[in-house]
Amino acid sequence: MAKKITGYIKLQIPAGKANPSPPVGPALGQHGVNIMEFCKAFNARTQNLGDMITPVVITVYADRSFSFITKTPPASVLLLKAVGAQKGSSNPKKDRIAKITRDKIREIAQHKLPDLNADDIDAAMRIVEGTARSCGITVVD
Amino acid sequence: MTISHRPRKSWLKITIEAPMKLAEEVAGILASLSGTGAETIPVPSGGELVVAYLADDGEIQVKRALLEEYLQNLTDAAGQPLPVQTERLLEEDWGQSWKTHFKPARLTSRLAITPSWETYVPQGEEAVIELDPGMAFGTGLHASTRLALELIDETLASPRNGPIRALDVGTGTGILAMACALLGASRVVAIDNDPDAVHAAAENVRRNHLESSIEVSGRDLREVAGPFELVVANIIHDTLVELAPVLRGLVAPGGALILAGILQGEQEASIIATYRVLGLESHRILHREEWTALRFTAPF
Repeated sequence: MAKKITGYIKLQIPAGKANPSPPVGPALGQHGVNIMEFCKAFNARTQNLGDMITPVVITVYADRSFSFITKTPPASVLLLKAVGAQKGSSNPKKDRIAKITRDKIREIAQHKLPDLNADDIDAAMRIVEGTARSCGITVVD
Repeated sequence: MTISHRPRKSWLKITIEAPMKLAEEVAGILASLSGTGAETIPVPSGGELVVAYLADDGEIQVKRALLEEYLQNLTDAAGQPLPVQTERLLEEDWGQSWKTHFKPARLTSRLAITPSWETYVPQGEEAVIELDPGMAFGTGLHASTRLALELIDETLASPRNGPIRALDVGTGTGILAMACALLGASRVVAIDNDPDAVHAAAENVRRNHLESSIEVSGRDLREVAGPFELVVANIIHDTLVELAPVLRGLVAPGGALILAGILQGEQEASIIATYRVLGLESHRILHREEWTALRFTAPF
């Protein structure tokens, strides 16, 4: 018999560093989820990712047991990391903060492919390029 | 050890309503800015609420300014304003909400655990640890803690000459250190690099009247003077690999090293290989759920 699902919790948190402080504590606490157990399991599963911001979806069951899946970091996080910037441009139409090669875009698109709503690598690259432009990153060949 | 009362931290809770296509990116930016992450909650209108918390420290003004600048930019991109709400939140013990699910439990044949709000009558010679879950790992209900406790119990139950000094690395709530003291170690050193854990462990040791046998501190492992007849570390694979030479150096000849917090399979094999190179053989391997605990013995 399938376990009855009572809710989902969606978070983006640094890999390997989950702890009961916000946002994890308040988000899980209101669902009665064992916060320590989640943190330990998440940290063990993501310890190879540095402190990369990692999306995680926690499924909460009726007995307050839970499971979770991690996803690839958002394209903007990967792009900013790739160009070594902390944040995107405040005015991407006017101020470009960095350049990125199309090969690097392809690499990020490949990495994001499982989580992107894209049919193939070319469509995924177009999505990532769009995100790059909105962060003030110029794509070059 | 004296315990100082620390002022309560506060947080600025920021909630932004974003259209679905922007929600993931908004969450990514807020997660980077807060340094601690963000939550997204679907709303019936089709968008998502993105929630993040900025710690109210010296950098909060800078972070707010960055956020406002970014939101202005996003508003331009979205072609519509993104409603933002802010709210001050005092730090609380977010471990509380699941306490109602925390009951007395027998952890090994000689050891039980009970939260302070429950009454538990020990059976026979059973030792009891009174422990409330807080903002530190180790309630005794996690599989890796259970496995480490079983190995500690086994190790200390076997006859031995002379007193046993024990070291608990990454003590968390102090549960393993307290188990060592209650099950036969004469002296226990417990360390953790997280100040919250040191605070919680010291409090738990005091509550269990074990101050005379357990010393809790935030000291660096490299500054700890050995050797110890029993060394325990329930952390994670990477840290256990990184600390391997130092941990090895702290185990007395003929002493035991108990490692936990390791996933079965690849991580288990990697730990065994790492410590074998250092001259330690694994003599006991326990599994529970997806976790492994190992006991190595040092040659005389």
